[in-house]
Amino acid sequence: MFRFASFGLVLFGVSTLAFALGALAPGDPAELFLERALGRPPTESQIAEQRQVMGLDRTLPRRYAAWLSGLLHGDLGQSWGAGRSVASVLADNAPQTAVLAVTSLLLSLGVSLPLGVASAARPHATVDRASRAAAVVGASIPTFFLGYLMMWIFGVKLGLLPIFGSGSPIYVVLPALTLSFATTGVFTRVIRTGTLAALQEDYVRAALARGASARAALIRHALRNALIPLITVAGLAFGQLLGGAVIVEWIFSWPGLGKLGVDAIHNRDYPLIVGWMLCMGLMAMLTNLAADLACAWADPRVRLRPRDA
Amino acid sequence: MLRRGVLFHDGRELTADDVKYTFDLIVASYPHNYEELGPGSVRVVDPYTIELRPEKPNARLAEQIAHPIWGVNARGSDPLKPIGTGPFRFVEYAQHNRMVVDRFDGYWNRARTPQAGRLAFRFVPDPQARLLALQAGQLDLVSDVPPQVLDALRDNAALTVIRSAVGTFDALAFNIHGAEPYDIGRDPTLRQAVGLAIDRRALVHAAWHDAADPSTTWIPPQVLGPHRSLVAGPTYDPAGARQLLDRSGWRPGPDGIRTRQGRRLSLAHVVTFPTVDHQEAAEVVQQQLKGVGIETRIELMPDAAVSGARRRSGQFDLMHLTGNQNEPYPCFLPDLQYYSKSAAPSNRWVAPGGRTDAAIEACRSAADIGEARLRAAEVIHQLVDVERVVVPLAGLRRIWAARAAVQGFVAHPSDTNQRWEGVHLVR
Repeated sequence: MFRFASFGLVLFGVSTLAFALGALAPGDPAELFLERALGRPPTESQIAEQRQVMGLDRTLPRRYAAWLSGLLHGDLGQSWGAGRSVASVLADNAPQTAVLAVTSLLLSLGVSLPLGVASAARPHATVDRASRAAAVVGASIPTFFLGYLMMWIFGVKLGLLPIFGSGSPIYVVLPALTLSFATTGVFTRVIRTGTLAALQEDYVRAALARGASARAALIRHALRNALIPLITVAGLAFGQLLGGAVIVEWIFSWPGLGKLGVDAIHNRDYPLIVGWMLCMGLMAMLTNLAADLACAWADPRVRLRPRDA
Repeated sequence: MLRRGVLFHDGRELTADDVKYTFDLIVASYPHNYEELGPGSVRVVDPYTIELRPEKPNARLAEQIAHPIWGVNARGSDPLKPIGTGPFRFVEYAQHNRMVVDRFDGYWNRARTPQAGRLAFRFVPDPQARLLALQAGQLDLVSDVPPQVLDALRDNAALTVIRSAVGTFDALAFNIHGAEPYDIGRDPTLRQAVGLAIDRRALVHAAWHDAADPSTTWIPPQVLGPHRSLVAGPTYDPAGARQLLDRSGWRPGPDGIRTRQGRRLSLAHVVTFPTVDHQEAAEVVQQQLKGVGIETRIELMPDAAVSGARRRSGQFDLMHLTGNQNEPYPCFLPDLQYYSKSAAPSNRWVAPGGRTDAAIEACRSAADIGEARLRAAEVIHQLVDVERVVVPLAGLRRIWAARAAVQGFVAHPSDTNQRWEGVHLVR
């Protein structure tokens, strides 16, 4: 309950910040809207009329109060650019970003789990060194460059994968691979470190003394404990994946929230910007909540109580 | 009078009712349209005759509405699923993703029946991704190829580079009414010196990799017709520029930048969005002006809203502008950007008024297109040679790249228009 109340507070803070930033940002949304619609600079009177239509003639606190009132009734307002409700615009794009981010997360976990465990099982061996090098490369290579590289290898040279757009599941492969590259390296190192530390614990030694095989001690005992920091890191990384999706969606023409957000900011589409920020914030918070619940499941010592939170 | 027997994509015949419906839709959406049409401007005389009366005199109306940018929507059709009379019929549109059109076999102009059965337009905003998709065979034709990659494309035998005629322009506009510290551009001698200090050939080579033309007319010379020679344009003469500045009291300082009465000759050069198209040009101009002792401080605008706000505020000495001649009206660009009575707030810093306004008004009311072209040349002569408020830099071409199988494509010079009837694939 406390957690959900904190959600409300965070979302309130996000929306306040979005409104304040909108007011501080240079540029008049009404002028921009008209210039695009008319294809030429609008007159003062046209701008004044359009500001009225957009509600920009009211003070910021009044606009914010009206928006909050709408929100309490489940209405995020109308997108000025799309000419329809913000909720419907977000609903069209959010699933695409969710698919991209979740696929990237699964790819990262799918690669980093065996690689991290193998690195921990034989520290400083070839696999460990290679995974360390890959982690450094993954963390340092710019996403846009990696994206072009992936396109060139898998699209141009090998002709295996589509370079842009969305549709069948094959379209998500290249953007998800690009997005997952940095997190895979981080996850691998977290699993390696956690597993190595767990292998030194008494309960693992006890398991070995009781006759458990080295493999069983590694997988059943050490890895389970090593997963707890991974879950926390993965929860945080999901937020980074959402942020990274802005660039990846642009490069791969992936019609998700990232590209939508960039367009909304360029168009000064304030209702959409605020709705977009709320949506991104909500997704990040829900992911962190899921990570906390998963931690509690993996480690019974972890319990979510108000005084612990 | 309407042509008889013109069919909509749903098989119905085009009538005056549909034309009125379309104009009414436009007037309702854009009450202050450039064609000066209002709610009572359009009247149906009979099924094949329509009468147009603009609310204000507009001698250019016939040319404007004959432009391909206009089209007639069938009465009552959904604007998001348009039913028109063009050579292609709408099939589907997915925002930010694709639009698909099919050949319309009932198109009235048999000489222009499309060659291709279907065209699928894909929206790929990133230019590098577009080129990679072209090389991968996932696209057949891509627009807006960056000039920087042209050399690499030339080596690829499977691809063809297609250039349009000049249709878009890069130019510098002086703030001639600015308040301190943005008042340096008020000095006509300084404006003349800047024009003389810019080597357009070197600029075009360095910034556009020779994929543009050194421009002195600012709008496409073909728009001015036989009158293009009325616009002389600035010639490259750095020695002349130095002499003018010396005579005006601007003396070179220790770092080569001139000063006068303690004031540094430093211009705020605002590069409008999208800056990626103009940044290199601004940097080359910066180097060239530095050669005669003028400093420019390049400021890149992050998006169109910030660009608009900056232009409106008058906080600039030089505004790096681009213009696209996408109207048949020869004075389209000067009327848009340099008419002081237009009430567009962004014009107030750059519009000289006086003779320029009079020349623009003469262009508006010219009896025919020939006279309008002459008046347009006079307007541009006034802006470029007399007031020197505009410093033309380059005439830009649209650059496309296509797979060798694409035939029949002719690039249109304007950013907003393109004909597709002749395009087809040869397998």
